[in-house]
This record gives sequence, structure tokens and C-alpha cells, in this order.
Amino acid sequence: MFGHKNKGPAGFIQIFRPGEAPEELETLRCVHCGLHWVRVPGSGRKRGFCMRCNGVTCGAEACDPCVPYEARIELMEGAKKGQPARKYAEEFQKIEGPERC
Amino acid sequence: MARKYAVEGQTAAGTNLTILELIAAATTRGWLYDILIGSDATPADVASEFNIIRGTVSGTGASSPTPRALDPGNPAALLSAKVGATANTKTANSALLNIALNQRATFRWVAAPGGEIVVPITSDNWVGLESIASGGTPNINATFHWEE
Repeated sequence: MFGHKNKGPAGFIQIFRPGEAPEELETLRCVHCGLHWVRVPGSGRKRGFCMRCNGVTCGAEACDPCVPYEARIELMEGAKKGQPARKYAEEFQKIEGPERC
Repeated sequence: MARKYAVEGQTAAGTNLTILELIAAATTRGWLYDILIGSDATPADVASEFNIIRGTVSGTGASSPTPRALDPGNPAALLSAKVGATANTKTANSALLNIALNQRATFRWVAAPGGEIVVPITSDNWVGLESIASGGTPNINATFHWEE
């Protein structure tokens, strides 16, 4: 869908095997948890798309609520850097548990 | 310009063993942008699975290598590293990259600009390479490059 087209890869993988040409792959990154994965068309894995972040999500249930990656990092840090992260705190607590916030 | 550093470590693969930890500093974030994994053991067909995961307590390392600045004019790194850490606390469901690899192969992941793995500003938090399963115990060599 459009989610795969509107952003480039977030990373690249190179695998070197003896006697073979290097294999190169691209990784996408979940806009919520930061998981990197290799897109395999036809794998049957269901991924998601966040309309607010305008990017793909990994498909995990915990990543269905919109807690942007940057906000998640700030909440790990106790939201000391940016006040806007606090509006995501409730959703973050549901995902990570109250002890992290 | 961000300062760039490198650290490497090696330890045997196994089940739920932390190979290399990049440990947060209290004053700056780290952006992990390059990961290399290989093995210096005698070549053999050993399948291993690795995760890049987060943790909140770095535990006790078998060794604590000193990060090296890629630009020798830069000061010492603020983030630190531990190799073969035990008694560390790992965050459940925090995998950031999953890697299945034959011991004969060498693996490299490099982030596109903006795709780096972020190490938060929280003391003793870490991002590290975890051997979650392996068909043997070959020595695994890992290298991290990061910005701070």
C-alpha cells in the first residue's frame, strides 16, 4: 500500500558468505517502537500504518496506539526533554507498564 | 557535528547471552548506526539467532572495553560498553532488530540517516546484542558504531 512507498528504507543489511556475492537488503522501521525488519513480500506478516505518524508500524498489538518513537524515547527518559511527550503517557503506560514512566 | 565512536567485543554465543552492551550516559543520547557481527572461530555451520534489545540495568560485564573515537581529535565517549554482561535487566518485547545468521557469514546493518537506534538519556539503560539461541557456542565478534 502507500505506506511502503512514501518513505525510504531506515537501514541496510549486508551479509557476506564465503564464495558468494554479498547479499544486500533494506530494513523498514516501526514509527512507534523502532523495530527494524526486512520487508518480505508475500510473507503473510501483517504490518500496520499510522496515519498520524505517516509511516509503517511493525504490526504488534502494542504498536496499534499512536505513541511516536520520539515520544516513546522521551517517556523512557522520564519526559524530561519535551513536554509534548506527556500527552502520550497514558498510552505508553498501557504498553510498557507504569514503572517505566 | 556529532562525534562518532566505535567499540567491539567478543564472547561465545549461546542462549540468552548478552554479547555487547552500549550503555547510556546521563547527559547525552546515543545513536547506534552501524552493527557488525562475525565469528573468528573455526568455520562451521552453526545457526545462531540474535536480537538487538533494550535493557534497564547493565549488569556485570566480563570486560568493559574503552570506546574509541573515529576522529582522534574528539574527546572520550560519554556512552560506555560492556562485553558478556550478566545479571543485567532486559526489557521484554524490546527487540529492535532480529538477525538469524550462519557462523560462516558476516553480517552488517547500517542505519539510513534518521533510522538510527536511539539510546535514551537514562543512566545504566542499554542497547545491546543478545544471542537468543544458537546451535553451538562459537565465539561471536561484534562491533558497534554510534554517534553522540
